[in-house]
Amino acid sequence: MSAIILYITFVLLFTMGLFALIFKRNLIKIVIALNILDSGMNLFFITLGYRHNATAPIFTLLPWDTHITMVLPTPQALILTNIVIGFATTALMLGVAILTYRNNKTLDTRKLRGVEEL
Amino acid sequence: MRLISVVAIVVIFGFIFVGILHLHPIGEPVGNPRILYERPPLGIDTQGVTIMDDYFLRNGQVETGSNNIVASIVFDYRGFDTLGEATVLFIVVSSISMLFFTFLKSKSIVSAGVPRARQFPRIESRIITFGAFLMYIMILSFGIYLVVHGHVSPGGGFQGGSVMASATALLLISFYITRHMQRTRKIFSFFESLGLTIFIGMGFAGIGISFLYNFLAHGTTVFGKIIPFGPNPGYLISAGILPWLSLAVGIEVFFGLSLILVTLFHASGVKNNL
Repeated sequence: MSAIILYITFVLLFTMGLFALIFKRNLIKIVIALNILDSGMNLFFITLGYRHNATAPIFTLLPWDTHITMVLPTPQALILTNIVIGFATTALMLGVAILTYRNNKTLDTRKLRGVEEL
Repeated sequence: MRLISVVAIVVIFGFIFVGILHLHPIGEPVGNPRILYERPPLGIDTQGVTIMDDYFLRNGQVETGSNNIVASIVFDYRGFDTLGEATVLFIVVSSISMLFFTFLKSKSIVSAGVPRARQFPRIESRIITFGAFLMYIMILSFGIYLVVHGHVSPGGGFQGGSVMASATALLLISFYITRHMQRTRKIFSFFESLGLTIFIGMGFAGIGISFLYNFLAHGTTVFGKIIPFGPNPGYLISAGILPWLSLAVGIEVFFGLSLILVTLFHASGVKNNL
């Protein structure tokens, strides 16, 4: 029953990420919020595929007995793709943040209101 | 406006919380927990299969020859998805190169007239440079091990490539600075394109049956070693096109992430050059 902490952690991470995504004004903090949200989703997927007293789905040198079980492999494959995509999008957002700071001398989204009138 | 946002977040929180209360209990997912029992050593056997994961667990090792079921899903059953993901990574690297185009076009990243030591203030101690180089070699070896053994042990192209890219990050924060950004970009993007090209080429090599078909498996070539169901010590030359796809993805991820790291690092440290 204590394993419900995994779902609670997912809900907390997801809500924290969403909260920071909406209310934070700094672009770097928005990127961090998206990363927190991403981690919450990863934890949720892995938790969905978890099975009690099971091994990883790898047969190499597996101690074999007649009651062997394995966790579900598809969520792990999906998370594997999600981690790399998350890294790549984070890098892209940080690149945009670098250019934003260099052109406007600020990362505050309240001060980034379009192009100044010439 | 702020109140509406808070209310919306609380409502979403409530929806998710009520939703997870209706999920299955943790540790008892859908699917047959007895799926690995009484499996014949060869052939495709769908006895007791209720969901997709059951099929993968019961047939993945025999059908693809890979001990690592996750690798067999990533590179064989869902190979087209992996191609899309590699393409996403390629597009991200292209986007970052495009964003910093003028910066990358400059011959030398060191601004004229300003001493290099002031642009990149850092300790250039012999201990740091030698230690970082030693760690670079060890991390790179570990990454290559992960890529090559992707179908036998935990690992694969994405993980190994990320580990090798972390070695590049270590070099960047310790002492290494590219003096010729243009040349570095050309080399890195060449190898990144090479990885994606190998992946697509391996996909088209099996086009006679379908795109990304595992044409090397099932006992026809040296990579088609017949592996019976059950634990084994792990055979490096097996699993058909899985090692090749893993190698291609490893090359692409390593050089792509390294190019991102080098570009962002140098771009954030140089002033008046964009």
